[in-house]
Amino acid sequence: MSGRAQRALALLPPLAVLALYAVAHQQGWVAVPCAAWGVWATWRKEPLPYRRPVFLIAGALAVVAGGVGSLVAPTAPGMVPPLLLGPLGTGLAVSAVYAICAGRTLFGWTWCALLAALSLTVPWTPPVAVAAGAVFAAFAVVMFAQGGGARGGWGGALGFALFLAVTAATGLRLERTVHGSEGAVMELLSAWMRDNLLPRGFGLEGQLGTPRQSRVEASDRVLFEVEGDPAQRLRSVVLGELVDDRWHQLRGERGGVPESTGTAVITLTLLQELGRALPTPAGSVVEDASALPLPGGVWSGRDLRGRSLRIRFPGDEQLPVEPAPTAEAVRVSEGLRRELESFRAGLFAGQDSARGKASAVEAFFREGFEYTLEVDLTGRGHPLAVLLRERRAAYCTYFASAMAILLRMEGIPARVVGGFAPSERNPLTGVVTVRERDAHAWVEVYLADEGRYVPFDPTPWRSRDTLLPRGSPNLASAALEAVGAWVRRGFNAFRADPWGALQGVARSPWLWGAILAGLVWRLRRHVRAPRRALARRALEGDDRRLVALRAEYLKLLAARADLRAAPAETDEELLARLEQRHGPEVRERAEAFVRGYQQARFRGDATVDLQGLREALDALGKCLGRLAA
Amino acid sequence: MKRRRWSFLMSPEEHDSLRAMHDLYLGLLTPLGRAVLWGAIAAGMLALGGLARGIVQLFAFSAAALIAGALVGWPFRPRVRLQRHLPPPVSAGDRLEYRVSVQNVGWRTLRQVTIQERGLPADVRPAEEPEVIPLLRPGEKAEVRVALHCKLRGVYPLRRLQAASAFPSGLFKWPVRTGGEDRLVVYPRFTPVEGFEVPHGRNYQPGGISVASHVGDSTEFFGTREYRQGDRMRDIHWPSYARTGRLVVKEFQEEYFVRLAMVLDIEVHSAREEKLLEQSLSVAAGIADVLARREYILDLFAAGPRIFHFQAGRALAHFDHLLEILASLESGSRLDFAALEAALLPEAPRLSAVILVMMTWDPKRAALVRQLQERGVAIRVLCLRPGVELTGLDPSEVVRLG
Repeated sequence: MSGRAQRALALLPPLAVLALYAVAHQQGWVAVPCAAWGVWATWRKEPLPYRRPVFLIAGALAVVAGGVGSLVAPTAPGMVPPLLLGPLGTGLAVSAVYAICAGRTLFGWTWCALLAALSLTVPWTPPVAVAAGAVFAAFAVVMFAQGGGARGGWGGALGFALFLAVTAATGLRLERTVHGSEGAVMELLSAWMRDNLLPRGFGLEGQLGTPRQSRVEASDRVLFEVEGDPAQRLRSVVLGELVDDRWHQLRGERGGVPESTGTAVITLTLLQELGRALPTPAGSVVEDASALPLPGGVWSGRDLRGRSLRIRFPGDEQLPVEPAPTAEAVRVSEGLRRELESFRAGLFAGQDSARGKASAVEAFFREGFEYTLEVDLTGRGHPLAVLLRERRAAYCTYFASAMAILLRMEGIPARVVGGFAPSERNPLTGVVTVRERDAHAWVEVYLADEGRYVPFDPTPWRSRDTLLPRGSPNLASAALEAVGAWVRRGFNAFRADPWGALQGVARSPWLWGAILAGLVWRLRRHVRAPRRALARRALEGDDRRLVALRAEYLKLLAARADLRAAPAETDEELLARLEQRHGPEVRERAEAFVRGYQQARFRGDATVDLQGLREALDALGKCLGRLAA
Repeated sequence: MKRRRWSFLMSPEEHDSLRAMHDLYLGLLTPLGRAVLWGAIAAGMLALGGLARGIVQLFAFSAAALIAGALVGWPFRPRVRLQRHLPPPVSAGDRLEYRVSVQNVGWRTLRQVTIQERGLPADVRPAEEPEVIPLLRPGEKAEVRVALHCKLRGVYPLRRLQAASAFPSGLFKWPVRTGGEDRLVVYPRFTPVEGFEVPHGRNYQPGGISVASHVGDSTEFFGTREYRQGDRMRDIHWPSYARTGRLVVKEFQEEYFVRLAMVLDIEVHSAREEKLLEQSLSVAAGIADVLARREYILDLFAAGPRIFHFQAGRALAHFDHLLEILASLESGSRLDFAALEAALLPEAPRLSAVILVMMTWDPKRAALVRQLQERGVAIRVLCLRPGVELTGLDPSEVVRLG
């Protein structure tokens, strides 16, 4: 095949892809000149010269032209925005044609394939289908030529036909599979991306229902860390309004920042976005201007990931005293009241006080129910009626919701509170790590005699602990976790405030400690080095000339007498071996050198006869040489 | 193969895993196959944003073509015998081209056969796409040219010569690895050194030329004379006896040569210094070339954590041997001065001059030079590190490159 024919063959896919681009995105103003340029360049006797600067400039100009062109003649609306597709498509089109015409087929075809993918992001119409078919056909022709089918006669044609048949069958099957598993694949991918790639937040919802079927994940993802001794529960959201059988967050006037009366202090570091809700202990004050108090004594704040917040609280999990709530705090819909009425009857028998009644309901749930992460309350009536009637297993929000409603039906103001029940303290660092699985819901009951809301927790912890064991990790895990926490905190702090984080690092005593340790180590090396030199000098002597002579002596024995001194061999032993192998004359010569060397080396002879030693060594060398001859 | 020093700025192909993936990419796919693979990847990525019909079709048929190419191509794997014909070594930065003879030893006609090296090190990369043999009938022989770009000096094994056929898909190459292992030597980049003068006196060298050429023990042929009582029979010069009818014996004399030592400092602490070492070795190769063209004996000391001492002879075609040694030197993390002194100083009385190619200049190195000077050895010191002042040396002892 001639060069021109080869170039024409290689140009087929770009031409087809340009046609597809023109049809799919109405970009004829790009495709037609490019195609004409390609045909002209192919028609030439010689291929276009490939020069990298020219190529880069052509690509850049094409991108600019495409950007301008997309303002005048935008591409068809599709998955890729016109302002991006215009420059990208034009750049790819020009680069592909230039590369093909300059003999760089790999680049040319690759950019064609990318342009084809971009072109097919539009809705599937008959013209697009025809153009796409032309692209597939053009690539098939090139495959036929590149695979040797054109030269292979019938055998080659049959082989290629088999390949096409397998491609068609596999492609159709694959296409059906992709379409058929659209939901599953996308779900899998989005779950994977959500878990691994995308930063995600965690927020307790502002509404809470009790669906018939529900499932929660007990994820180990770390949400935040607390330094200090947090309370048993950290409150994030107060759900005090029951509308249409769903709990809603308390609304009302946002009050001013309350006075800080607490004595306990914790530092909370958010490692994930938790929505706007800040987990805080009961009655706490957040000492940060970006945190705002909300009705119900909870706090909110935005973009606090990576920040460390100082929180002051009473320490005994006591909410502040407040006036008696309005009638809204005991509201329950008539339908729900009717359905649950039968369960209320025996529940409060013998209890007169609000606290007693609340404790009775709490014990009822704690002792008579099981905890599960997969709730199934299918059956007759309201899900909570099914829960109470059949004593099915559920998780915290169901128990809290049921308890609050039962108390409201008794005329006792009650609300559901969402937050966290931390349970994992690192024994090495003392830091409490709070994970997604620590999310929790409980009930706060207004006790008129105390004038405040008091927390009650109806969740059956015995059963929950079996399912989600709590406790501190062992030492190895704690060490790993401590390192992980340190890295997480550092990363988040740097992310939130790079300059502040750097300043923190510069002020860190650990850093200066490490630098100091490094300096001491370096200094110690310098101190040790002369000591080592002294030791070496004690072994080898001060006089380098002597050392060199001895090295030469040993080398001579190795080279000419084939005798190597063992590491712990004495001079006498070596001489004995030498005599055994080469006779007494050689030993005599060697001994002359060794005695002279020892005299100079060990007897502190001030007038070392180096010349004599040299002569003794030369005599030994000649003697060995003679023997060898 | 040389151990590479990790650097943040090292090229992707110096990472083993990336290089292995790239090796598979080049070894299994034709250029068209690679383009189709990129098309499938692009379509797959776009499909994440929504399953548009065109995108799914492009993804499905591109992936299917690659799968089908692999499946259908399997029976057409080539059965060939390969033989490399390596030329003399090249220098770092050069392109090495060599021939590979290919013989079809199977019973089937082979189509679209390509020959390429697989598993190449990071410093030796394919220079171009492999040539294609369109047709190779059973028993038929052909030759192809393989081109490699040798980026860095070294001694590299060539282990995996691959023959592959792209028939019938033109996308996927089923590889068959064959051919024996060869050794590829890449010499250091040669820096020509003009007018490098060495101060020299002629020292007696026991052993004469024989030692100069390869370490041994003999003397130099001087002439002939008449036989005297007591002469050795083996010294009789039989051609002279045949011509003259009288016994004539050969006479020998001890030789005097100029013996030089070149000390190569290979202490390196960073990837940046590796480059400096390469420059030093390049200059050392140039100096060795100058010396090899004259009647010098050259001792080469590579000084790092261990000291390697190579003895090379007079100008008797040993220059290649020297370059090979320079090619295979590896850097070390420290210079053991005590070991260097123990190896170098005993040789000092027989040395006329020592050329030191240093990575840096510090008191320890200066002390070594002083000791050599005290023994009456002439010194020439070269240090390529920018900004280093060779203090304590006479200007004539410092080698400056133009």
